[in-house]
Amino acid sequence: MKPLILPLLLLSLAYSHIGVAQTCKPNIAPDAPNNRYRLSAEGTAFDKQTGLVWMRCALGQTWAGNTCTGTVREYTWQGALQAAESTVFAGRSDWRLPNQKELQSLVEWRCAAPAINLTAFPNTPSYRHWSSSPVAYNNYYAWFVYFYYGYGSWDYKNGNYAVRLVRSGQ
Amino acid sequence: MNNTQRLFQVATLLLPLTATPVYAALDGALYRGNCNVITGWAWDSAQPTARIKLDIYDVTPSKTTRLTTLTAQQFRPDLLNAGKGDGKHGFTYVLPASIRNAMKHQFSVRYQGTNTEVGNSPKATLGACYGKLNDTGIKTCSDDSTDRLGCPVTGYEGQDGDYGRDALARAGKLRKTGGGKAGFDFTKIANDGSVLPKTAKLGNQPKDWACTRDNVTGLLWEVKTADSGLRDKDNSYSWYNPDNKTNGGSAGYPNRGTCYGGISCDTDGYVKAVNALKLCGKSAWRAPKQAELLSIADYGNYKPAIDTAYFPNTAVRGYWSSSPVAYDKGYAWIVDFGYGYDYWYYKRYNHVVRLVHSGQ
Repeated sequence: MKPLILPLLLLSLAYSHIGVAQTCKPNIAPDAPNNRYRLSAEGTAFDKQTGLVWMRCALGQTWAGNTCTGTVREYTWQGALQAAESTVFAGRSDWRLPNQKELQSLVEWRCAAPAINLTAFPNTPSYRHWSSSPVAYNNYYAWFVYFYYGYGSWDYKNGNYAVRLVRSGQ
Repeated sequence: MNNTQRLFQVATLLLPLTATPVYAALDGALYRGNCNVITGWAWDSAQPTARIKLDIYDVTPSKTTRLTTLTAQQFRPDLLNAGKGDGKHGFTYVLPASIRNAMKHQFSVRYQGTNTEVGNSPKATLGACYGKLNDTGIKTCSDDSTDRLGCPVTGYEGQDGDYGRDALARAGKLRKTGGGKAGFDFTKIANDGSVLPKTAKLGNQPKDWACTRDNVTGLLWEVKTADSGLRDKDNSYSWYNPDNKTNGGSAGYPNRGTCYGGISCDTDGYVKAVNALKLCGKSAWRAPKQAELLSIADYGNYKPAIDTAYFPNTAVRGYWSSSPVAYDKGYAWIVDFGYGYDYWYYKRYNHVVRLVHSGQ
């Protein structure tokens, strides 16, 4: 354990996501094993634990039949809400920006970089992802989940972050 | 032949085979059939102080599974007022995690050892019983610079306050088993495990409030006290888990905290003490996983970010989860209940821990 070095390490990791391999620990209980998701070839993942249906790619990425390709697009908070409103995918138009608890339900706490199931959500960027939840104590903030580590925090709504859409299950 | 006579006949026929007690005038009802909790009552007018045992079954197209056998003995004022003996004939059953799957379920409540259903049983769920996420507690909407606006906000449609349990609660359309702010649905539970009314007060007597059940997730939570005792809100604990299969590679540190109760002031020591106490009738209390701990955060509030009517004595500070941090074994996750964000700390640090118990 190197307590004094850690903050610096975090800073350096935070700005060098690309190419960092996911690490998962065998001695931490899984939250999001493969059998939690029913995957579809059209690019959606049904979460049997929550009943939610997720897009397997972040916005900007393209579903290529078995993985996500292309460049993740980042949005302001309002931009993310509006992108969700106009998205049609896998024959559905009821996609929406997840709220903070829905977004946190994707976190796999036994992994980092990113803290998510990469079989269900291939090539997930280890970025901050916007939720649809405003922050109660500050008018200018909204909540995000930072998928490098999996924690939830907030930033100004004009920040540019990634977006993964959800819709309610059948 | 009325139902009572038919039941008497069934019970009589079964008697030689099962030695089931014969109830001469059984009567009962199943009130609710949802994916979280089922409630109802049963009594025998010929033996008004007898407590009736019931079998609860989960019926799916492929199989019928007995979930539990329980005794209908909860006091319900409506039963007393309706002349049902002493009124202690109600039951509440929190459905287990085994029903969380893609199938539609029917819940069947039968007099123990018989195939005779209580009134209104069985009841079917509307759809599949997937695991339920709590909503965030946010029931207003925002634009870029203003919070607590009505919903929807033009140009910002589709945000948190526009959908989910909180929005239903705002519209007066959310049916709850218990109470709670916005979309939360909590029930107070006594030291002895019995269900309490919303007005119940904290205390050490068997029928005093000590735990809160979340009727959405099915989890039972301890409620902190302000009594300089074992469960006092100001007690702090270091993170300690000697199980190498789940501790992420480091057990943490025993007894580094500051706590009342004469125990080892660490998460493991506290879990053991609360289980020895059989708090709320349970003995499998544990520190919550990070996902579970986040489920009771109320993002509609801060300082503290929790429904204080059901979680009083919540200190504005970090609460340990059982989840170690994946990228550094020296850390474990916490939720800050001042603002609701989550983060990590060295396992040797001192935080509060609020224990959780899975549904029955």
